[in-house]
Amino acid sequence: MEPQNEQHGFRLQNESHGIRRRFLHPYLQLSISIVLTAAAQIFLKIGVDIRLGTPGYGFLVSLWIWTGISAILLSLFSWLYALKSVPLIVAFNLAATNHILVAIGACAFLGEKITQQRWLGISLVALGAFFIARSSSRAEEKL
Amino acid sequence: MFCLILFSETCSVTGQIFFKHAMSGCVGSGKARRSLNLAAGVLAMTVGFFTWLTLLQRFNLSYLYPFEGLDNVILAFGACLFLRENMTRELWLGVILICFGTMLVSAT
Repeated sequence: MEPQNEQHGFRLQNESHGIRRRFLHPYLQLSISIVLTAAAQIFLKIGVDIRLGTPGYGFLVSLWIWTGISAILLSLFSWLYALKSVPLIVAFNLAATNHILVAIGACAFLGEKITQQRWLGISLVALGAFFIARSSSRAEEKL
Repeated sequence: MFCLILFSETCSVTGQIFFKHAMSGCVGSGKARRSLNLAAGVLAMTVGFFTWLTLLQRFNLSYLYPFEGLDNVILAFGACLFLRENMTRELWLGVILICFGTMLVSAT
């Protein structure tokens, strides 16, 4: 009876190990980081909008702000983790999609009206960030 | 207002560079140097963050966020200036695209 049990336990452990390994896949972590960065901006915006009435930095207490700050920190950790195995240039290239994500989020969750001209500008910025990735990744390595 | 946006971006880039130095930098340099770099990074990041929040209060997110693209421009341009990197055609193209894009956004 006992060895079977042991085997079962081993298999369970193995399965959970597989899930964990899949979760820790560098590209998944990179996507998580990019989505969290975009989400953080939206949380922060909601936070400051709620507290618009109070002057100064009264909005610091807002839960939304703290959610935003934790999202930033979490995204930083997954970014650093992903960078262990993903080349810097690829990471920077993918991070350029952030501009599009934030714009979509602002449109969907904050109800911001984005004109065609603004969409064009945002796309140009994202494209530019894509092109610049090589030199900024080289700069990062050198600094 | 643009000064404030630029200030916020510059702060975050400065913070990043300080962090980078603190994390990787010079093995020879002592612990004091490292924590000094770390503190400077945290300070720069915090100042940048609060400036950003103040800006967020006044503008739409879709208006403000494209300026974050200037981060990359500052970093890559700064590397060319101070680290004597070559200006590649890709870099110029990216810089022009980002500047043009932010101009379009700020005109709306």
